[in-house]
Amino acid sequence: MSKIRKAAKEEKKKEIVRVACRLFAQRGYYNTTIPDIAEEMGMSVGNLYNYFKSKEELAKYIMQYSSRLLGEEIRKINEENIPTKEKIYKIVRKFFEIGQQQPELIEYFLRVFLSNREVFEEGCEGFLCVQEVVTELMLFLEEGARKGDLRQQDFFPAFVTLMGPLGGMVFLQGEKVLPKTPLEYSDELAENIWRALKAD
Amino acid sequence: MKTLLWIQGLTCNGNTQSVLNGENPSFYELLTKVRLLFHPAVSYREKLHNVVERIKKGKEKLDILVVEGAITGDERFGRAGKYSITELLDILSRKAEYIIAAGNCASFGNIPALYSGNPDVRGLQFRFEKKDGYLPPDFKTSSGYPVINITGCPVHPAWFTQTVMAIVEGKDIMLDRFNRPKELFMYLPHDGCIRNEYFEWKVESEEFGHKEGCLFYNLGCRGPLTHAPCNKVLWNRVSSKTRAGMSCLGCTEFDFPLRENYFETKKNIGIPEEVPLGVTKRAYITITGVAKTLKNERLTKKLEETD
Amino acid sequence: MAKVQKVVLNRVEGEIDLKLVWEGNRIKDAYIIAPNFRGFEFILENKPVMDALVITPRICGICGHAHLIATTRAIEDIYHRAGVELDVPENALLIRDITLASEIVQNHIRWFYMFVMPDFLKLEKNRKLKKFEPIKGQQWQKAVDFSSKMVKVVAIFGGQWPHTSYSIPGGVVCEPTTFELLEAKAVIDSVIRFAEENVFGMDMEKYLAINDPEEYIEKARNSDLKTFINLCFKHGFDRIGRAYHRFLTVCEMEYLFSKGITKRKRKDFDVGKVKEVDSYSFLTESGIKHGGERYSWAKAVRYEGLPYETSPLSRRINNGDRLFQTLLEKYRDSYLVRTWARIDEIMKMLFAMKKWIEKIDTKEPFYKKPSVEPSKLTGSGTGMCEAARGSLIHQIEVKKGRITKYNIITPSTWNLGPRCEKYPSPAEKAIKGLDSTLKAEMVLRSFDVCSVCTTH
Ligand code: SF4
Repeated sequence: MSKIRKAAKEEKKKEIVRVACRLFAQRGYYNTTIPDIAEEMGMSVGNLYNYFKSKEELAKYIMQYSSRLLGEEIRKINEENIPTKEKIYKIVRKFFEIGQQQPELIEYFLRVFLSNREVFEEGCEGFLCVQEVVTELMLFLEEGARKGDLRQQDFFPAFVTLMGPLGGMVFLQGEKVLPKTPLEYSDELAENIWRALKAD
Repeated sequence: MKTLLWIQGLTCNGNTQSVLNGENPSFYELLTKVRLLFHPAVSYREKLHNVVERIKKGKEKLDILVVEGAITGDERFGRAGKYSITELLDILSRKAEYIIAAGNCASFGNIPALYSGNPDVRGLQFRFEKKDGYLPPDFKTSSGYPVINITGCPVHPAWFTQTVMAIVEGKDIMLDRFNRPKELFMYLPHDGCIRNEYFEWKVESEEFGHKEGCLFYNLGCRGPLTHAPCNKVLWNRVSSKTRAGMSCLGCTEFDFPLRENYFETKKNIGIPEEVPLGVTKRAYITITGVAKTLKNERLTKKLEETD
Repeated sequence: MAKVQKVVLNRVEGEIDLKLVWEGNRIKDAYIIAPNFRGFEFILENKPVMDALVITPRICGICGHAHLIATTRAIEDIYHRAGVELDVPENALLIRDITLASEIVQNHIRWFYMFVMPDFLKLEKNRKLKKFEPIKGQQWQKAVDFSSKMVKVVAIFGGQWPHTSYSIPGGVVCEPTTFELLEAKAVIDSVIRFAEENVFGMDMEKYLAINDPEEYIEKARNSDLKTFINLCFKHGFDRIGRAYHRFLTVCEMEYLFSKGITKRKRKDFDVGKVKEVDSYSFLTESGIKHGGERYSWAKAVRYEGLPYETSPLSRRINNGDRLFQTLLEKYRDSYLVRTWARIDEIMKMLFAMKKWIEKIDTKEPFYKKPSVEPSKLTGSGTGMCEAARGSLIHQIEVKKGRITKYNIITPSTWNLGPRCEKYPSPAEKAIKGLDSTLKAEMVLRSFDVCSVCTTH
């Protein structure tokens, strides 16, 4: 395959992801079919199968795609030479920025990934589909503690302290109870997370 | 025949004891290929003083000088017969064709160099990581080699006897950055450890006393971070620490006595601070995440209960 | 005027000098000087308490395992005194004894052939003794081979010898299979054969039944012990090298010996009665001091104010062993008896090792993790064991898991330490009155000199 064709195929994949993501989030995983997605994309069902062999594969791919996207962004922050506290601010902001630009990804995470675990049983067990994000967060936490900025503790409480509030905020937004956008709460939330994690 | 003289600085004698355990060649087999001028635990008619005086006057050639133990110039803390340890080295280091540091003390100063009451303790050419030993950084014997460090606390007998054989047979000895024979110290204790599959699949020992499990994640094993062929050239030719179930202590490295908590892995928020040599932490975390999720069933059972 | 002579000893573990004060052709006084000092007790300060398991074995390359056992027991004692019972599995206790015994047998073999027998080559020119010549001699080589073989047992359970740290509070790190036990057993059997054929000239069973030295000499085939005994009688070593005829043993070992002290009668041992005296030591309560009458890095150790010999001979006496009671009556605590006791222990330890190994049950645990993390420990503990050369005592104080004080009293400190105001050490006493430097060296070697332990 030529480079151009490869790139074009990648672009198409991204588009499918965005559309499928929206439909899954709106109608639910089981109420969305491959023909629905093909129709929305304006492509034939047969052609769509060229990209994804099954609905399940597509569903998993969406998770991997978002994880890679967010993971890549956190990695950039990780590699910056800035204090741990500032990194927390940046990670939180980045998360909400992506949420604002591509709300379907977050919706998908909450309404499909977390609600239809059976779909993700094989190939997405544990952290497999969200490996990039988890890896970057591990690296962030490890470095923070190594420098003495973050309090030593087990990984999971620290992980949940970091990720839990972000999910909570997005959930409230989905429920339409937030007076402002999550991005506007970003710094305040980051401060809370920092205070909860920082070394005494 | 080449001659060999063995002297001691501040030592526990463990390297002598270890070398006596040697096989292929054993210490006494080795001594059919080199002529022993003196060894403090072996010689019975010869006196160190006489041998040294003969060498000093050029009446005896000195080919291989072996030093066991750390070096101090302070006579209150260490002497070798009538000499201070550094006096002895001053005489002998100029004459020797090769100098071998047998063990970590002679190589790096090791545990004796931790004693604050005597700050003048060092290895022959290194003091821990720095080239700040008793002999100058650019020191070379007449053979063109710096001090050859055969590290380990203690030294492994075969590493020692085979290095001497290499000298006797005039082989080139490639050295690593701590002047250790590369062909020995290019291996890690991790290479050949019988727990390697547990490492691969991240089946981590939670406690000692079991055949199963890898000791890296919780119990402080330094196998993947240490240069030494302990699981290739076995100890006492039957086993190794990690095979028996004990964490590798990293005793062939300069920082062996500088580290703490040997039986625990240093972790930050549950993630190991140091990862195996050659991989980035990112790669390590990614791969372990995958390995942890995808189980190897066999490794989750007691070995007796596996298929 | 008294003439003073300084002798540097080879063929001991480490560096030991002997200062002899001559009056005519007799030694009037002897000073044992341990000139090297590494500062282990200071190095241990402020380290995490578990790290002592790694550091203390490195005090000594030949009896490091005994230090490991003493440290393990001392930490276990801290737990015990803090009210945490550890319940160390029986399997672990057995393995610790087996490996400790392996180290001791290894030590005795090496010491006898490498350090003791070559002295007789100096004493007399005798073609028959050629086989004891260092390096070339057939018996010397066999001794190296079989002592090396013996410590394979330590390697099977602990990974290596010297310097393993496989015994930890709560048990041992290994979980051997039946086949590893069989391998260890095969090693023990092979060393037993060596001992029977070369050292004792007699089967194990027969030797263990010997109650009388004459009986041994009569029944034994030609053997190295027999050669040694004959040489001793020939050169009068049954009459020299006597110390205080007081014996101390701090630990028991199943089938082998019980603890206690023997002055005139046997009594219980109480560690509270052990005191160190530093009047002649460079190392004092108030720091390092040189000059004056100080001459050794070692301190003197006294029990109820008196010097005691601690050694395999002490173990035999405190155990009420018939053969050695007879020997003691006839030849007192002479060079011959002290040395024989060390050799004797080779066979007795091998016997016990075989028994212990049979008792190991691979289906039972080898380790039980303490319920409290060592980093939480505050308190103090004492760990004792009987090492190759005699009684070893470790005393640790910890605060929040870190060592605040570590005190080590080695067997060699008991035997070869300096004098106190009243008494020279047992070895110094044993040398007094001798008429040759060689004899002085030999008597000193009968205590199995280990300078690295003496001063650490
Ligand atoms: S126990 Fe140590 S040496 Fe063995 S596999 Fe694990 S990390 Fe490697």
